[in-house]
Amino acid sequence: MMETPILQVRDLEIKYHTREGILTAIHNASFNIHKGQIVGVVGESGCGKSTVASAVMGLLPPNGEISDGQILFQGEDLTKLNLEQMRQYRGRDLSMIFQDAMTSLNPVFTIQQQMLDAQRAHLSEGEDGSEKALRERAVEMLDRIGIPDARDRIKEYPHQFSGGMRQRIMIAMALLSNASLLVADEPTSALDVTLEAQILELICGLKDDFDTALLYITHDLGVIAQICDRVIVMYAGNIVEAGDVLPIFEEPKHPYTQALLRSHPSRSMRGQRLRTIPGVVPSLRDLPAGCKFAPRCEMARQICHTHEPAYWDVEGQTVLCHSYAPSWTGPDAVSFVNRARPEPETEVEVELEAKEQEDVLIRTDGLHKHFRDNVGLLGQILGQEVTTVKAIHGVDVAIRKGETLGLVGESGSGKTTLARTILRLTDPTMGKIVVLGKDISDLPAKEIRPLRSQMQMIFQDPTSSLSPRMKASSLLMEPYVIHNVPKSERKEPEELLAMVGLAPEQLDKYPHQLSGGQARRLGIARALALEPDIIMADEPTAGLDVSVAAGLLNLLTDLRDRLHLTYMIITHNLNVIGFISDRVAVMYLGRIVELAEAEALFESPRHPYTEALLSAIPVPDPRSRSREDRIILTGEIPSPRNPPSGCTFHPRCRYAQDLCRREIPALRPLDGNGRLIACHFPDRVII
Amino acid sequence: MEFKARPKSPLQQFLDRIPILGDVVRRPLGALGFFIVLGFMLMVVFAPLIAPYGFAEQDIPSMLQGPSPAHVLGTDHLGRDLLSRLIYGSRIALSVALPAVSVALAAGMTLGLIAGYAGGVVDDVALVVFDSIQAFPPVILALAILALLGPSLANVVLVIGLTWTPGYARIARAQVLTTKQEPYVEVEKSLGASQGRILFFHILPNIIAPLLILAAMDLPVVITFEAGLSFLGLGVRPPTPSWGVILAEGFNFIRQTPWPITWAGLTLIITTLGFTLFGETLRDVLDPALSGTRGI
Repeated sequence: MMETPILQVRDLEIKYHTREGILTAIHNASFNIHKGQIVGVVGESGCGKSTVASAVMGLLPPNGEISDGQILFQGEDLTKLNLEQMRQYRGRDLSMIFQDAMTSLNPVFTIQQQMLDAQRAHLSEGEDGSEKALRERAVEMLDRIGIPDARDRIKEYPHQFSGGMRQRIMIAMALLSNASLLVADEPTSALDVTLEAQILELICGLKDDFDTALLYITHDLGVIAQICDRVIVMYAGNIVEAGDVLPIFEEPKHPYTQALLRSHPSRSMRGQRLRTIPGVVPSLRDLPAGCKFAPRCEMARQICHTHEPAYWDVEGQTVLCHSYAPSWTGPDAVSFVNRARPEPETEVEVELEAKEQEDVLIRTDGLHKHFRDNVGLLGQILGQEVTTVKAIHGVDVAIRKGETLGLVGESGSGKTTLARTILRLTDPTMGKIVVLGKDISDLPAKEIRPLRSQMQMIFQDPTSSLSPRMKASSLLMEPYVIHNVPKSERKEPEELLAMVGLAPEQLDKYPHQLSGGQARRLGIARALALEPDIIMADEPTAGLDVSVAAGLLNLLTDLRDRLHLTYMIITHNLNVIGFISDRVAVMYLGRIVELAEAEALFESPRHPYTEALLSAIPVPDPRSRSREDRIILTGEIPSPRNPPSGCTFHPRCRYAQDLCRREIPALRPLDGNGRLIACHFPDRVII
Repeated sequence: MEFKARPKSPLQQFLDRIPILGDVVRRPLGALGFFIVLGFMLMVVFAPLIAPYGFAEQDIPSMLQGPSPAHVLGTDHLGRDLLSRLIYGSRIALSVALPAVSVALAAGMTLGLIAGYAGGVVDDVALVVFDSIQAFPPVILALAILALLGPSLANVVLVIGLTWTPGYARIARAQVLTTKQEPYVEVEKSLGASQGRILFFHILPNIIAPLLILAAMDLPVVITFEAGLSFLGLGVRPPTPSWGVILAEGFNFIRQTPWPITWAGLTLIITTLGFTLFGETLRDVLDPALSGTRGI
């Protein structure tokens, strides 16, 4: 079966020339990709995943150099080619799909122009290069990739497409070239789970239809498990483990792979602490001697710190670890992972009971937030129609003291707007907001300010939510200064940092000198300074590596238990919600469509939307791939500017009836357990 | 994380200790700009000590001479030493440019902050005012106002300040518009910070760098502008040795000797170059995206 691999990377070494000297970014990397195979590359940020991808595409930055090894593509060594020869390969035989499809498509040209240009650049002899023929091919490809009305829409500009559509177009362009190898660098990281599921399905389909080989780079183990045939795990520039997908997930051999899998949050880990990997990925500037992972490895022995490990072949997996050497005397690596497997938890029930008090901290009553298009003075004079966007459309939600309410939904469902409206960062259009028994919906800004000390928000982007010209020490004191807290009642900045697990050295740093995880922790420390009752966290783990995110989730649960905090966690990551929330509210187009205890919701989702969301979660278990019951939502969330009639979910709902198109279902209790649902036919969905 | 760096020379260590200037001087063009600016400043401060003659000391018999040991750069039509006049002229140049740019910077920044942050009608009105001022060519506007107020050093400062204000205001406004969208501004709001605190503690420090850089780069433009006004007889009056006056007077005698306009022109060019290089390097150094790790 084994024909020659389409791509062979042999002993690849890549160096960067920097001001601090020459840094080795990739060390002794070897792997193969066969026709029709999807090879996933996984690892934390800074492990060299993207460097490998760039090297294969010949797109290393000017200071990067392939100092050793070969990249054989269909037998030709790409490292020996000059720029012009390499350009011939790129776009014809090799194509790349980038993370951000908005910036990868040129905004001033139509899709058609870009797709035709891409084809013209690599016309082979005898091929029909006429405009008509090329357009036909482009339209055909767009059809295939799932762009509706491709023939008309091809004349549109990139900004007229949504994020998911743009990513599809990028893939279509990459495929037009009939490339035999596609390199995808985090192509779905910026997308919602539902879109991600669509794109992944598309990619899997392509493999079958075109026999394309794919090098897929991601930090998401779930995605790897869902689509890849082989997996390469990278750490600090080394391939530490490589093998077929099933054994890697079932019996990971390298301690790093094991640690990565353990730190993945999921519902089954509820009530436990996630296992994090201590420390951070070392900087290329001071790589440790010996095994690069040794300083963070639980089973490291003396030899790991002094000698570089060799590759061992263990049951078909290639592992870079001393523990497989015959001379190893420490514990057996495989036994480690089994020890870490989560035990079924029994305490959860008890905990839920305890939180059953009806002590409501925040309640909203028919909350609406509408935005109006700014048509300007001229527009008003000319009688231009003012469209209203109903971002929040009648939300009744109560957050009880001490609970964690998860708010989920795709981007554009109004989650963040809801939080901002509750906190009165933006004024509600209609409805009531009652915080701690006080109606704050009409309070003037001056009177809300003192209340802010009791409700804090942690914003999505960790670094840019810190004022850039202030040091960590002043940032931490900011809440005290604002609220005129006397010096004696202030906490020391060191104490605040310690609460979130940061060292006092960080006090002297500016926000941009902190890593994403550190900045996030600093933001939490600041939010905690005034001892608030409630914290709203917007995507607290977005953009963080698995192990960093795991540490953060542990921190949030610890703080909740210690300080009796109430959380509202907004995220589109259902694994996080499943891990941390007590109750979950699912939002769709400005409305809450289902609200239930987390356990109950995950066990038996009743709203079709919840059901689809849950089934789209990429689970880090390759065996779940062939699930028959997997529902992949078609289409995307409609624009709130022009919502569908009746139940707004009906165009994407697989159970939609006539009634759904006519009438908006109300949010009503379903059973005695406090579950609320807005669906005409809640009983249709029982798995 | 530790840096494994090569050992540094004493000069580099010295430069490391000076916050922003050190980074400017480390770049070749920045160093050139810095030393020209430094030379200019020294000239301003020590003019009476460096200048071989007084700026109004006449020596009619040796008028319109070329360079000679007695007069290194030659003399003008009244036999005054050109070198001395150029050295004293730097004082005039600075005493016009510095206050004028400061006026423009202070007024522009305040108006821009208010317009950008308040938005709405305030912003609309401010924009109309800026547009009206900028609709006039600066020289025409300056001529008109000076003709009304009469030529004097103070009026020149005022006029230049006024003409330059909209430029600063526009940049400040644009910066505020983007900065107020930044998440940290909303975070401050969510912490309960007042409008004033947000505006002056969080927005201002983040918009001031480009304005200061613009000011550094505007200084030579203003010096040239003043020279132009003086050349036209509307700025500094003779015998005060403004560079523009020296140019204007030299122009009258261009058939007899090219030296006065050559030297005055060269001085202007070098000064402009120095400030521009300095300003541009400062911009590169202060831009966090370009420099990496240093806050202001």
